[in-house]
Amino acid sequence: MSAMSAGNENQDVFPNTMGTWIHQRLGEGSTGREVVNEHVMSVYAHPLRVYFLGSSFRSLGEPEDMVAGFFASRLERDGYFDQWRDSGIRLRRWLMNGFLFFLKEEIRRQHRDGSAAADDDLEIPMNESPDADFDRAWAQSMVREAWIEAARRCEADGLGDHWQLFIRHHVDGLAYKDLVGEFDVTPSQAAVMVRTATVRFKQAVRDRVQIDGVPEDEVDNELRRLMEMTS
Amino acid sequence: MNRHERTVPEPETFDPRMVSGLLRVACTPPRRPVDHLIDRLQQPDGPTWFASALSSGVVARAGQPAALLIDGEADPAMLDLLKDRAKAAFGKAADGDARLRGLLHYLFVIAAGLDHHATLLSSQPRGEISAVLLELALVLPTPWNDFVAEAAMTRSRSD
Repeated sequence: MSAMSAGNENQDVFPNTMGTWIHQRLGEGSTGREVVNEHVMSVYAHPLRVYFLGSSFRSLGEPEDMVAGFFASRLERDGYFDQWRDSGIRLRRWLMNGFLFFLKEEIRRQHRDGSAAADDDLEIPMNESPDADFDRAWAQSMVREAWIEAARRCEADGLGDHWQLFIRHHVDGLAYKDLVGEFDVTPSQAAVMVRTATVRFKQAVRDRVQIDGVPEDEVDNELRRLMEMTS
Repeated sequence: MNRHERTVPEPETFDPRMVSGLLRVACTPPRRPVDHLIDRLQQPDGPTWFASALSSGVVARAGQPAALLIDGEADPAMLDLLKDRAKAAFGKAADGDARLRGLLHYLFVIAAGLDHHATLLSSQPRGEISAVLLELALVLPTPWNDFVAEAAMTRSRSD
């Protein structure tokens, strides 16, 4: 958890188990809770919106409002993440289940208000594989957040060009020799610079997968599973 | 903002191919024989081990390694023979150390084939060979690092 736990000296209460990073942050009080909430919202809001839009719940309101309402109702609850850790499931699944309950509560609330949609089959998801869609959207969001983290770390370490080389090589698909003119480096230097940025990106991704509750020795399997789902 | 900087794309713009590719970057691939060689070269006594391995393997038995490989004195036929010998040394090695030595000589011979004759002596895919040579080059001393890196970048006749 190097990237996301920088500066934290707290003892690891639950080493190599899910929830370590989150529970360390929560142990830091309100500041730590803000960090956790920010992480959860930045990585999980997008997949929850995708899930909402793919379900028949979508007539309940705007996806942004529903997801924001869900976070507001759950993330400040004491013990919410303890319950997740005790459940033994991935955080993304825990949040999706919680979101489902929240939406059902919202239906009841709208019924009471007389503003509910008339659909009888409101709770039947419309997509054939909402879980797969959710996982794909989670991977998309998680990779983007890792991208932001790695870019920020490279910039902070004075490695801005390293990060741009990473993008040109891994995203744009340029060979090292094709980067020579653009960055005024030799192919060997380009390889070293890309490798340096790759270390940061790789760690950022793996941190987020572990925070989701994947044990360290299963991270590669999880990444391969996500690759199969997204490709 | 520097000359190359891009704004951070929205999640929706991370298309499946890009996400899959970036997940692949984050994966730790199964360890290859060259990973063990790189680990060995990065140990504190790596330079000593390298000097010893270079002077005691199949290439050294045929002549001066630097002259044969870096200066290009070995012709394609000789390189092919040395490649087979290094491959055998790698496969039949009695211990891990001898195995790594065989691999080092094998990769150096492959690099010489590319550098001086634009010939890929290995049956491994060119992309894999280039990747292996590039990674190896990063932990080698001068002038072997440039020799191997140049081979990684050199097109072979079959490319």
